Amino acid sequence: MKRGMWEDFTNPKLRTSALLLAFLAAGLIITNALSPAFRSPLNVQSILEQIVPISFVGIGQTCALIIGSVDLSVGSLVSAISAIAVKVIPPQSATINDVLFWLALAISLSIVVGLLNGLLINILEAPPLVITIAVGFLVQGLTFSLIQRPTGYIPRSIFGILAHNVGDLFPISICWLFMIATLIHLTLMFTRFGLYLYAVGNNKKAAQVSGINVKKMIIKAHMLTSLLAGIGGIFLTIRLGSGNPTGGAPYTLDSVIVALLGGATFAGGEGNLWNSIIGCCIFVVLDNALKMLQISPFIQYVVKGALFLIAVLIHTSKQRGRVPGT
Amino acid sequence: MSALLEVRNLVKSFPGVVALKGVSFQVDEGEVHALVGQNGAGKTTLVNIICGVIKPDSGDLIWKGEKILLQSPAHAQRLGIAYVTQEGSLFEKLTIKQNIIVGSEPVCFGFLINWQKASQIAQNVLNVLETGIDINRLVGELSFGERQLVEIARALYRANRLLILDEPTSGLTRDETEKLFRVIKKLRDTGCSVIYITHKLDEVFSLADKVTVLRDGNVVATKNVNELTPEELIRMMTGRDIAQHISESTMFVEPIIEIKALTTPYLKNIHLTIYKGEILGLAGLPDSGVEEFMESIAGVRGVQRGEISIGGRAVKIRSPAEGIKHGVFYAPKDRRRDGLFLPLTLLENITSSSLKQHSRFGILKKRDECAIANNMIELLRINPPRLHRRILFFSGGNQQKAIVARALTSGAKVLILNDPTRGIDIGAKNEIYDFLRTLAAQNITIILTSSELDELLLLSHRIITFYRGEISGEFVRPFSKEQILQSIFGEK
Repeated sequence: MKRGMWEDFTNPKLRTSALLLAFLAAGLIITNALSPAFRSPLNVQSILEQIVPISFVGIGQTCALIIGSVDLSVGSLVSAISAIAVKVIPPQSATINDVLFWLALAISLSIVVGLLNGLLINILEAPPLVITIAVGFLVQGLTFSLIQRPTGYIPRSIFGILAHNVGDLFPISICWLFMIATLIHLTLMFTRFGLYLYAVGNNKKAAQVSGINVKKMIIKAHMLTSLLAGIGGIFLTIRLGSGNPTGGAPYTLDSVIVALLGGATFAGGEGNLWNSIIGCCIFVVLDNALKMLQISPFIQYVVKGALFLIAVLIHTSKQRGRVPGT
Repeated sequence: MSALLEVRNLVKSFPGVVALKGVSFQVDEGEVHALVGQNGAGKTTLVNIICGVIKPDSGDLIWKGEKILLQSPAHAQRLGIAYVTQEGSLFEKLTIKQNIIVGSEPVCFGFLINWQKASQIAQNVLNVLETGIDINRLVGELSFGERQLVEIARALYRANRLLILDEPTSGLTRDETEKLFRVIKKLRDTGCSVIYITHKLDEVFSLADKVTVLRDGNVVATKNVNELTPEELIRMMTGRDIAQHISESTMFVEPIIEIKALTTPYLKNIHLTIYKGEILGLAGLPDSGVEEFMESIAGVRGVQRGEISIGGRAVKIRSPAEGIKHGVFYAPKDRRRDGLFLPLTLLENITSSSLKQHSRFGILKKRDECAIANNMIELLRINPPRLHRRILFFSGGNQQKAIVARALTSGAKVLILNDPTRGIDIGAKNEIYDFLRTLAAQNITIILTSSELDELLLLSHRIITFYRGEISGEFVRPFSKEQILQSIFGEK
């Protein structure tokens, strides 16, 4: 019985996990061999810190993809949160209350953006792609009204338990990621919400006939996506220690790439948070390795593109094994 | 017996059509009530209202003596009404267990799913259906018949009062069908009512207590099945008598396709010669290789070894497009999913395989296209003859005709039809039989299979049976149904 319980979601994904981990390990070993600076404590710490924000946004995006939607407003949301930070946290005389106020604003904004995405998708019955791009522009506009260029300084020390390093090296933000990801993963596996998320993504009509309130689920899923993206924004702001009105922009597409790398599809109904996080690790390590090996930025884009193609290839080959008409 | 559900004067219209024109009927507790009628008669609309998917324009539903207004499928489900839809409504990437429980899953604390109990429930329901499928398998991996069983299991778990089955046996093997009938009878004995929609009249007589006939959105009559003969039932459904003629036995001499030692992962060493103007019936169990054989010669599946010649020339067909170039056209079983472009118009669906012929430098010659499509509409009697209506709104019979029309406009010499009359009513079936015979008389070869053996017996000049990927028998007219059945089941 126990085994069956776990098999529900994990088993079909194990192959993907193994494949991704092997890929990650290969990347680590090769880069390590080529560049001694790669394993310096500072670099390791930097990699770990970079993994956190993209992972939050990535697992958020995974949730959107599972329900058969997509959220392209996440990047703007991340930027907005960093912009708000420099506005509400004074650099010199910051208190814990300022930080709490910022956190409350960030979380509320995230939820509102998710709600807006979900409501508009339901009301206008338009593709999520279009709606979330539009909402993204909206949020981006608001962000530019706060700050116009990278600016401000927020001392790391005021963030307390959000920004500590454990033993000088290990950023505590990784622990936050691990805890929240575990919570969301358990939610997907063991709650009604999780099952409905996959069900709606598989077959909207069947879900509706099964008595699932599909529209409500779409709203909830987008709220979850935005919330996780917002948390990603919080950790990015902490890492950068300043506000940047376009700092979140790359996260929009990067989050989609890592989710696809982790086994989610645009068709919906599948996806796994841990695989998405491994996807993030591959993404960040690769990015870092390319910088460490001093490869030209042009090539870096080519490598990103190749990674994206590999992600797509893995999944099409998985599907090619299936015979049509059976 | 008291009334469980009563429907009074139900009216429902959609843009352009009145689907129900005041339908009244009644389902008693513990009865199997068959609902029959041609496509477009309003059966699906009626059950969609009963299970809360759509709301009627006017009329009442009375559930156990009380008037109800169904708000949603969930509402209907809470009352105990569940619906097994005709077209697959499963979650492909979820397991059987998840498919069965989703929507009414056992929970603790209101949000945590009790997976242990879920497993028990799923196992119990499958036990009732007498099937041994593993509940942790993904539905996407199941065969057509197994999926049908999962759909029924889903409904069974939900409904203890009224189960609505929409052609549940299409695609099931004989064994599975018999099992299903046993289950339905068992359910009836426990007091559950069943509304059973079917086109197969023998099922009405072997299973139902009462039958209601719908025609053009009206109820023709509700009768006790034991007071009725099949002929009367057909007359009520169609409003006319149907004369069935049987294909003549003819000799064919001119080969069109010769297959030598065809071997694929599903087929072993197939040798077969198919003649011009022949209607060749292929019969076999769902896993016998019939479908694989059809798909292999049409280029849908790859061929490992062997040789196929068309018109005396050896050819390699690696894709359906190459098949069409060689005059071989394949019409898949699931026409809504694999055969049609649902959002496109009738015209576009007819000409989609022959656009090259009526275009110049890539620009379509609309007038040519319409002329050809209009010819086809006339030839195949597609109704209504409206070129620019979306194919979605045509009945199953007319959709099938559109696919044949596409084959013919693409210049096909060989039509491979996989269960062409699946889900099509008797009137339209007879029309399809007629024009298939006409086409054969014009020297077009038709290779077909059907979920109903009787259809093959009626239509084919020759029947080939498959068993476990090999040809197990060849039969010519006059057919012996007994022998063919033995051959299908692999008994010598």
